[in-house]
Amino acid sequence: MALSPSLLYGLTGLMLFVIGLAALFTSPQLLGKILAVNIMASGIFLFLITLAHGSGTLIDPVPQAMVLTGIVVSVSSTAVALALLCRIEAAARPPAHLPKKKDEARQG
Amino acid sequence: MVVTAFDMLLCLTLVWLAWHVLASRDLFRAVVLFISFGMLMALGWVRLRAPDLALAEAAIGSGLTGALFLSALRKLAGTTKEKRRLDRDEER
Amino acid sequence: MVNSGRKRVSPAHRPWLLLVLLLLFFAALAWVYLVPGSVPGGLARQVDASLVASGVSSRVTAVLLNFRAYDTLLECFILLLGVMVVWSLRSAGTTEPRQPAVGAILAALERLLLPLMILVAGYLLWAGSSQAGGAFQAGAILGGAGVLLLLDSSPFLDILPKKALVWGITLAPLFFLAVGVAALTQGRPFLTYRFQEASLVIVALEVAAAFSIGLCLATLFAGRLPEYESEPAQDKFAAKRGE
Repeated sequence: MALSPSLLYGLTGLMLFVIGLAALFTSPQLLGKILAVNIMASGIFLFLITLAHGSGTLIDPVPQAMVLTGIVVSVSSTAVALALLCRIEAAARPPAHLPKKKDEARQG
Repeated sequence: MVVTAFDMLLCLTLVWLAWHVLASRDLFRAVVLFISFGMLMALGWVRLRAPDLALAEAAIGSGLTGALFLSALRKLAGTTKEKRRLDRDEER
Repeated sequence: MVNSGRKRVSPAHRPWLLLVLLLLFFAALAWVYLVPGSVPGGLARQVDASLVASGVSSRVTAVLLNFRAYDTLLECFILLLGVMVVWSLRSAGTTEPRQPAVGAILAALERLLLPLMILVAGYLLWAGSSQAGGAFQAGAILGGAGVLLLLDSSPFLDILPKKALVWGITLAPLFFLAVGVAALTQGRPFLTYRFQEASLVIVALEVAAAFSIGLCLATLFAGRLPEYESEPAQDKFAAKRGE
């Protein structure tokens, strides 16, 4: 099978997905995990778009529209994940400026 | 459409960048690499004849997501710095 | 949790095992992909056949706002949901101090870029019905303009009346729903348009969607509730804790 651009980019997309999956498992930092999910999403998008070239000369616009929606959805989910991350960090931080009692109450 | 050297280089760079984004322990470096990853993805969309996606990826995928990550990083840096200082105080 | 990662050994104690597993996984995925006939034929022909009836000449826009308008409707709701979650996560916590102005370079850049960005967003919106571009891209650029304003600590989200902000964010989802329900009341399926008015409805939907997407993205970046909202919310929480 000759190497066509869609095949090349499709395999790249799969590779990105696998790399992201590895980092999702191994990254010690939560922010790294969020980055990993974003890379995985990019890989999936790349893969989906190469499917649009599958049937020959006509390019299928349906995957393109789906990926366009996906890009916007992934930015909003990233924003939510980052807000959660900041909240976790704020909760894990020992609040020195607050009285000790409140800190214990929050943890317990 | 045939595979050009540019396509090969672009794909290799994408994978290389993704690897370094995720292997880097320095989060700031990882975020900056991620932004450049998004830019190269936009180039990839152009090569795959999806100009709509290229526009969206350049604006959202690298621009806005990068801004989100950088602002979160700044907030986190503030809290970790404070925490490190507190840890040191407790050790004394 | 995040910071302790440096002290611990990375969970990948056996990197070679992970590498082997990942290579196997990649090989399996690639094998499925490469099997002849596994790639579906796609819907390009169907889209081309009914493009004339869709009201726009750009195939991607036709799919997004006509054939699969459900996707775009749900996507608007997801953005709204994201804004709601981010607001509710921040409202009870600390309010971040407003960042000081970054400097003269940013201010100059802003003066130069903002009009250009709004112009480009308008152009993309207008071009979207016949070529690359459309509501998403225009909304993204509007969101970028909002982020630029926020970076310069311009409190435009605070100055904006609360009602205007809420209506601006919910404009696209509500308009979408209204269009869908209007179709239902006229005896057509949900979110379908009559041929005569299809292009008009699509352009109106795109304008609303671009505006709402831009505002939602800027609000997501700001991350916090506007100031008038956060102050009483904090007091309420303090009262609840019994202080």
